[in-house]
Amino acid sequence: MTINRNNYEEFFLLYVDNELSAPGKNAVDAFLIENPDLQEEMLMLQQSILIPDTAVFADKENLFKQETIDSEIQQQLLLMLDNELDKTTKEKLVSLTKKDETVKKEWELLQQTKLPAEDRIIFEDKAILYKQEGGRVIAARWWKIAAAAVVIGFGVWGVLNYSNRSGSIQPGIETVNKNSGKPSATPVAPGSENEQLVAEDKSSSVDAATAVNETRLDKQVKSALPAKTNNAAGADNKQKAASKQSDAIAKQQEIKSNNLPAPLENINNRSSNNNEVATVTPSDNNRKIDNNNASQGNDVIQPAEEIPANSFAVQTINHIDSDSESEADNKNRKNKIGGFFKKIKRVVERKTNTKSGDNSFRIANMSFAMQ
Amino acid sequence: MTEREYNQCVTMYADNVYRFILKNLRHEEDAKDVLQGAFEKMWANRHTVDNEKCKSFLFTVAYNNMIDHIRKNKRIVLKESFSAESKTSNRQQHDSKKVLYEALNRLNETQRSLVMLKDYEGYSYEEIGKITGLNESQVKVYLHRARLQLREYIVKPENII
Repeated sequence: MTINRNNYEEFFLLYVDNELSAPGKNAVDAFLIENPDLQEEMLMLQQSILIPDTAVFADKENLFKQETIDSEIQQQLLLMLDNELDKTTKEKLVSLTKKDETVKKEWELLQQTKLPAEDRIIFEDKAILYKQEGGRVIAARWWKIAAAAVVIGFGVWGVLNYSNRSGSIQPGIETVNKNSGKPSATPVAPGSENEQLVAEDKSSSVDAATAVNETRLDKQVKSALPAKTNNAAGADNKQKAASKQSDAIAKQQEIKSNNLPAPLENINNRSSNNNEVATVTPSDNNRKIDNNNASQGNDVIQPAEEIPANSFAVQTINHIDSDSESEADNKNRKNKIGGFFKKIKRVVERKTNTKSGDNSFRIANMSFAMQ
Repeated sequence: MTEREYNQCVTMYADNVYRFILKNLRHEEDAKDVLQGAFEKMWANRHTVDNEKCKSFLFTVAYNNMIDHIRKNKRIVLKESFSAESKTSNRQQHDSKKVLYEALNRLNETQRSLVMLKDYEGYSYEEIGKITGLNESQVKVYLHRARLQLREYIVKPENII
C-alpha cells in the first residue's frame, strides 16, 4: 500500500503512535519531503502525544505487607486470650510465642484489645433497687375458719362452764351447811357433801312432787320449765328451792312419811299422772346423776336443782305433746349430742338471760338436736 | 430467692450490670432505666430465680432490655455513634485506653456486648451464649472478629502513640 494525498492521515496517526514498521516510517518521511505543505499537520499530531510524568508514591510503606501468622495459631491465640484453651495447648502456645517473633507480636497486640477489668463504674442509686417484702396475706379457707370457730367455741364454753361451777359451788355449800345446821368454817369433804346433796336431791324431788300435787297441772308446767332451763336466774331458783325445801321438810315432819307415789294420787287427773310417775321415776334419775357427779367430783347443787325440774318439765310437757315426741325427747336426752346441745343451750340462756319456758323454743331446740 | 438474697444481689451486681449497659448505650439515664427494669423483673420472679444464677439472670434481662431499647431508639443511637466517630477521627490519640474504647465503640452492639461480657465479667462462651441467646460457636466467631477489628484499629498509624 503506497502513501498518497488521499490516505496520508492514517499513515500519519500510525506514525505518531509508533505503530508503523521501519519501512512504513521511511515511506512517511519520504512523503513529507515530497509534500512540505503537510509537514505542519504532522507536527500538530506529534504535539498531541502525552509525555509521561515522573510521579512518586510517597506512602509505599503502608502498602507493604508482612507475612501473617497462620490462621490456626491466631485462632488459638484468641482462645488463649479468652481463657478458653485447655492446659496442654496453652503451654505449647506459650512456648511458641517465646520462640516465634511474629507470634509474639500478634500475642502482644491481641492482649492490648482486652478491656481492663479494673475499670469500675459505680451505680450510686442502689437504694431505689432495694426491696422490702410486705406482710404476706394468707387466704383462710372455710375449713380453717370452721376449725378455728370450733376451737374458740369450745374454749368459750369451757371458760363459761368453769366460771359457772366456781360461782355456784359456794352457795351450794352454804345451803348444805344450812340444811345440816353445822358451821361452814371447815371445808366439806367431797364425798360427804355429795351424800348430803344426794339426800337433798331426793328431798327436793319429793318436795317438787308434792308441790305439783298441791297445784294445778298448767301451773306446774309454768313453774317447772323455768326451773329446768333458766339458769340465768339460778340464784333466785336456788333460794326458791331452799324455801321449798324448808317448807317440804316441815310438811314431811307433819306427814311423817316420805313415800313418793302417795302425794301423786291426790292429783285430779290420776290416770295420766300415775303413768308419768311410773315411767319417769325422778328419784332414780337423780341417783344416777348424783353418782355421775360424785364420780366426776363436781358440784351437784346445780344439777340437783335442775334435773328434777327437767324431769318434771318432761312430765308436764308429755301431757301436752304426743307420746312419740316424748320418746324422741328421752332419746335425745340420753344421746351425748343432745346433752351437748343442752349444755350449749343452758350457756346461751345464762348469757342472754332468756327463758325457755315456752314450748316453741323447746321444740326448736329439739329439731336442732335431731339434725 | 429471699428478700435478703435479692438485696444482696443488688449490692453485688448492680455496678456490673450498670457498667455493661452504660458502655453499650453511652447514656446514663437510659442505662439506669434498663438496670431498674432488670432488677424489677428479678424481684417479680424472685420465687423462681435461683440465687446462684441471679447474676446471669440479671445480665440476660438487662441485655434483652438493652437490645429492645436500642431498637426503639435506633436513630438516636446512630446519630450519637456517628458524632463519636467524627470526634475520634480528628483527635490526637495519646492514651491507649482511650484508643481501645474508641475501637470498642466502633463495634456493633452484639460484638461490644460479647467483648464486655468476656473481659469485664469473665463469662465463658457457653454462658455468654445463654445470656445473649447465641450458640457457643456463634459467640466464638463474633468475639474473634471483634478482637481482630479492635487490633486493626489499634495498629493504625494515626492511633499509634
